Amino acid sequence: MRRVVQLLKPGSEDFSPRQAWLRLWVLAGDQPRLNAWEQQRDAQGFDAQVEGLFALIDDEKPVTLELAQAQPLALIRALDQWLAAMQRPAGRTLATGRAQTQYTEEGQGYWLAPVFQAARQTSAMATQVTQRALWFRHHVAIPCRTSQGLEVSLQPSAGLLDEALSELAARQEGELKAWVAHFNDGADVAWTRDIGTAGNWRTVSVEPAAQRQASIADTLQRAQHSGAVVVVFPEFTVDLQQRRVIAEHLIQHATGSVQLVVAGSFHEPELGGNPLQAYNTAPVLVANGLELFRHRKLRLFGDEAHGAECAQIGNTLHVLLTPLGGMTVMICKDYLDGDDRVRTALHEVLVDWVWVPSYGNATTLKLHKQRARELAQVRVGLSTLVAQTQNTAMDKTGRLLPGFAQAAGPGEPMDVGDDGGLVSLTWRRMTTPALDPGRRPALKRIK
Amino acid sequence: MAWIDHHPDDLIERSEPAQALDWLRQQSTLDAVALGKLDLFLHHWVLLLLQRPADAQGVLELMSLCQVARSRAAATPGAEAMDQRWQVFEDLLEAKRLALRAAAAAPAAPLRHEPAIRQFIQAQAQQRATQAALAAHLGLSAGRVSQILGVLESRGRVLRQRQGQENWVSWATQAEAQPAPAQPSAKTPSTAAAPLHLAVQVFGRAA
Repeated sequence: MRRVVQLLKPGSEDFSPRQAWLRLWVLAGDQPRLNAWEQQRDAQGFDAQVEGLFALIDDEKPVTLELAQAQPLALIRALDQWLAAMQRPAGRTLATGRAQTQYTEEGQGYWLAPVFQAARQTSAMATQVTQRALWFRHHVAIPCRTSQGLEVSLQPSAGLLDEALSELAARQEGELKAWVAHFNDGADVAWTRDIGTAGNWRTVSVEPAAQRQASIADTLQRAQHSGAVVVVFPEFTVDLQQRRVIAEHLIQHATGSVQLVVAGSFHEPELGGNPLQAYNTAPVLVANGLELFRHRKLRLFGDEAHGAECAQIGNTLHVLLTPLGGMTVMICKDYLDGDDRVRTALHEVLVDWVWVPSYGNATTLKLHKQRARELAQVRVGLSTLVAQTQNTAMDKTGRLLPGFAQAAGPGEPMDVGDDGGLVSLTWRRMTTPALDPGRRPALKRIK
Repeated sequence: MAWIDHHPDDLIERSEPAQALDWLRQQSTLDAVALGKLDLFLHHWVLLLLQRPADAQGVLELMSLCQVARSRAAATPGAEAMDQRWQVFEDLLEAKRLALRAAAAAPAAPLRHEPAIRQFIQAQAQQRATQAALAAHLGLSAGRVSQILGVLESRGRVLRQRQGQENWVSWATQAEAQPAPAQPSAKTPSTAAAPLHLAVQVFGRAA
C-alpha cells in the first residue's frame, strides 16, 4: 500500500494513477488480504469515503498511507471511477495493445481494459465475497501472459467493425446478431496420416471443393441478408483454398452487415518450413477481407491410442478490444478442455465474447454448453458462440450437430438448424449501482 | 479505357473513391504503374478527407479503399513499401474516424473542474486563457490541467491552440462544437473563418 500511495503522490517522479490502480488490483488478488479489507469496510460510510478519495485524486491532493490503509476498497472504487472519468470518448487508441502500453507489477505485464458487460458484475461468483469484480467495476487488468504461460495479444478494433459496434454500444442494452454457420451439403473434410511418423492425422482439404465453396458463399449471403454482424464457421469445414472465398466475398460486400468472420479452422503448414510444422489455425477477418489475427489451437484433439492432430500447438490468446468489450477466439478443446493451460485462461483474460469453431460429437456439444453456461452465469459473465460440425471420422452416420450461442447472464442456449442460423446475443452495459447504506448483509447461501 | 489508365491528374480531379474501389475489386494484383497511380490518388483523398469537418462516411469509404488496395498489393511482388505507406494512411483516417465518433457521442457527465474552467475562461477579456493561467487559477499542475483539457477537448467543450510559447484555451460555443454538415461530393477543403490549430483542422476537436 505504501507503493500505491507513492504512485498517487502528486509531483512525484513515480506518479502514475494507472500503475496505482494495477498495484491495487494485484494486492486485491490475494484473497486473505481482500477478505481483510472487506471485513474492515465501513458499509455505512463507504459512498462518502469514495467521494472523498475521488476528490483528493481529482484535485491532486496526496492520499496518506493511513487513509489508504483504512479505506482500501473506497480507494479502489474511487481510483477506478476517476480513471473512467478521465477516459476520452474514443479511449481505445492505435497504440492499445502495443508492448509499450503494458504496465508491469511484480514482474507481470498487464493491459488495463474497460469493462463492458453488466453480466460481469452479476455472475454468481462476482457477487460473492473476495472477488475483485465487486470493487473494480470499470476496468480489468488483462495479463500479457497467463499463469499457465499463454501469451496474450491485445489489439483495438478499427474502421468499419469499430463503427458498427460503436453504433450498438451507444445504447444501454441491445443485441449482437451473429450467424452460427453449419453445412448440410454433403461435402466433408479429407485427411491424411502420411505426414510424420507418429501416425497422427492432418486435414488436407474439404471435398467436393466446388460444393463447399458454393455453400460458403451462400452462408455469407444469408448472414448478410439476416443482418448478422459476426459469422463463425465450424472447425475443419473451410480449407485453406476456401478461406479465399470468404476473403473475396468480404472484399466484394464490405458495405453489408457482416463485419467479423471467424473462418473456421484448418491445419495450415508453415510457409516454406518443415512439413511437420503446421498449426490448426482460425483466421479472423473483417470487412474488406483484412485478416486481424490468426488463432492457433492451444489444445489438440486425440490420444495415444487413436492418434491425434498432426500439428504444433499455439501459445497465444488474441484479444480484440471493441466498443462492445473484449472478444477472443478459441478452437474446440481450447474452450472446453480441463487441462490447466486453457481451463483458467478465460478466468484470467477477462473478455466479453468468445467465438468457437468446433468439430466433435454429441458429447463435445454437451460439454461446450456446460462450459458456456458456466462462463455466462457462474464465472466471468461472457457470451459464447460455438459453431460445431459432426465429427464424421468418429460417426459417419450420426445426426448433424450444429452449434449454439449462449448470451452472458441468465438464459438458455440458442440452438440453430442444420443449415446454421442467426442468433441474437443480448447484452447490457455495465452501470455503477448506487449503494444503499442501509442494506443488511445477505444471508442467502450461494452454491 | 480502364479507370486506372487515365492520367493521374484526371483520376484525382474527375473520379471519386467509389470508382477506385469498384476498379480494385475487379483486380487480383497490381502492376508498378497501377501502384504508383493508386498511391497518388490515395494521398490526395486522404488529405482531403482529413480536412473535411464531418464526412464520417467518406472516411470509412476511403479506409475501405486503403484496405482493399493493401490486400491487392499483398499479392503483388515488391509492393511492401506501398503496403506500409497505405497502412499509415489508414491509421490517419482511423484517428479522424475516432475523432468524429467522439464528437457524435452522447454528452458525458461534466468533470468536477469543468464549471470553474468555463467560468475562468469566459471571465477573460478575449474569452480565452493560457493553460498556465488555468493551472495557476485551479491550483493544479500543468500536467493535470493538460489531462483535463484533453478530455474536455475530446468532448468538444474547449478548443486549444498553440500561439508562440503558449497554449491558449477557449470555450467552444455551440456553433463551434457542432461540425458542419457532411458534404459527400465536395472536393474543396473546408475554410474556417478563424485560423485553428492544425490538429483541430485535421482531426476535428479530438485531436
